[in-house]
Amino acid sequence: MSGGDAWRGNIRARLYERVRARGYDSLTAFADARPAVPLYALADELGRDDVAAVQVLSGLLYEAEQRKQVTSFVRDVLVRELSERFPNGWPEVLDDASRGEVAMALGSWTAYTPDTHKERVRLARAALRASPPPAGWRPLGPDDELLRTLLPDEEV
Amino acid sequence: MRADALLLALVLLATGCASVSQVPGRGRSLSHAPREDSAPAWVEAPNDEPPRAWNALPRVLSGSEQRLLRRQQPRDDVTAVGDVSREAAAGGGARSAASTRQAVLDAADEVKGSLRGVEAAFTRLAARPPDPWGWSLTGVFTRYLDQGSKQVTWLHAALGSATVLTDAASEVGDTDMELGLLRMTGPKLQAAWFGTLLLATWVDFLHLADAVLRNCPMCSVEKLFADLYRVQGLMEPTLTDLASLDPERVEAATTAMPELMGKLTREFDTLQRETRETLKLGGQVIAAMQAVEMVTMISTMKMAMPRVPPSAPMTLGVGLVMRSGGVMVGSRMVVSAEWVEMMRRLVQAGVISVPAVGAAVLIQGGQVTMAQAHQDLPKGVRDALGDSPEVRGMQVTGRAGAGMSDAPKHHVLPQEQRKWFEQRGFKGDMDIDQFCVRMEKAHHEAIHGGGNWKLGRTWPGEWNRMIMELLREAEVEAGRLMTRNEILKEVAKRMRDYGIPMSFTPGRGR
Repeated sequence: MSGGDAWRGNIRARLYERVRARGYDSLTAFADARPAVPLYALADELGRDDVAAVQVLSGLLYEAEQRKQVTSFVRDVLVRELSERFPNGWPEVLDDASRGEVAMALGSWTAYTPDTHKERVRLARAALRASPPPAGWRPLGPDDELLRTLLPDEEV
Repeated sequence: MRADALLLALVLLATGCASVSQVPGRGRSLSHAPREDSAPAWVEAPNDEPPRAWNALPRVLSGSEQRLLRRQQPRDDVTAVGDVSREAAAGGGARSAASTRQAVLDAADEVKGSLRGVEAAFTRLAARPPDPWGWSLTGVFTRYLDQGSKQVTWLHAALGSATVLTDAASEVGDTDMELGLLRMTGPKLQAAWFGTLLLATWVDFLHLADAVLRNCPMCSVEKLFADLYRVQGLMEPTLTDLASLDPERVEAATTAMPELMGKLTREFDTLQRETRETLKLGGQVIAAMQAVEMVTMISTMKMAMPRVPPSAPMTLGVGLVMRSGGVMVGSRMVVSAEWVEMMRRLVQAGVISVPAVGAAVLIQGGQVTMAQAHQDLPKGVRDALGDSPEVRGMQVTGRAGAGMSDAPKHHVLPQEQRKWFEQRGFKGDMDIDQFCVRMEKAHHEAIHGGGNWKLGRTWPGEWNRMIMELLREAEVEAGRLMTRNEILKEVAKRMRDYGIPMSFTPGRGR
């Protein structure tokens, strides 16, 4: 990403044109085919110079809102966040540095969560703090069992 | 005084003739120079770095006493050139950041060494006892010495600040942010580099003035005073721009340096010629004449001296050729391959601009001009310095380029939270005003919640709110304050997500 290219032109049209060019009819389908791939990598695949990760994030949220699957979207955001920071799964030893990294991951999760779900995410985080996941935990998608316990669907 | 002049004449005989055929100012002269304090930082270089990958800087960057020594270095001293570039290209991002960091440290060390030489020259000039007639660079001339010492202060500060940023870069733990921090050293390094060069030139004028005062009783002291005043006036605006450390002003001052050096060369030549005439009229002894000549031999501007620049624009860069040993003009080495290699790293990482390096090469090659001219170097030399469309693009969107240079600056770390960031170590050279980026209006509006890019309704995605929420929630999570490095590393990730280029420029705070 070299600069403002991602913010020129019709952002929405560009996003969907790239998704269709790759054979998907929705951003969600494109992302689902790439489970646990970080958002920035999805953006890079759609357009290294003119697609930003937050545009993909917002597009995925839009589709989730339409489908009433926002909670699943929120879990997916954490999955992609964790896979970027902890490719080998949840850290075994929580020293000061990895505690900081975990904190940033969960802070990012909150910041990238829609307003409607922030409170639930805070509760989920409190639950995680109270009983941390096993070392090596590596959710591969929004349907991860532990994740679903932390943040169950309510829309359906 | 006569013994003094005789000594100078002897040195002249010993070294002067040789300098015509022998290549001056290159080679490992720095490590041979008897100033231990300039030896250094490469001791800490990683093992895979060839030690002293470069240590031959343009001769113009070093003190005059050193240049005398350099001229005596044997010519083959420079030929050992490691193939550093291939090595660097083979490494990944982290590796390239490490080699960029080393290049920044090396460049800063070199400028520091030159600056020490300049300082020493000031001290010696100030301490020289008056000659038997009572003349020396004291009394009314003291102000000219002070002028130099005053500049030394900001030069040290600029170099110190570059060091702080380089240290921070080594700790941050994110390659993009590390390069971003290293790029922030660019304007400071560049300002110190060219400021030191100007100061070295000023030392030359003071040496000449000293020689005139001591050897030319018939020369007018009032005229000499006025001449120095005029020269000082020529340097002043450039020194002010450099001292501002503002990226755009530094860049503009730098690229205008060959022109300024042309003017200064002409001033120097005129002053010296007039002195010679006066000495001739008075039938002065040859030793006095040589004392005045001697100043040229050790001068920073020596390379330009054989042909004082024409007052009309001329084509620059003519005759500069890249060869295996370095950049040559005919058989003369302008800058060594090691120096070119260091600059290539700095250019490719976006630390130093091609025009700035070009200006240095032109000055070193004696290609100074009286008029503003197109300063492009021959393609071979530019390629060797790492010039490429990507690099140019980086500089356009990044610091000081065309295009973006008018785009307004924006704080990446919200100014409303200055205190919060101060408490986490964003102070001094690392305060939040240092972390501004230039953004076009549409981009800026978009990240602050404008435009129609947000497809999802329920996530505002506004940058300031997002970044503060992220950091605050992380502190709640960790139960402690986040460190400056953790914050910078995180901000780098989010800048990537928002497509904000990692090229910082200092901005003004509210």
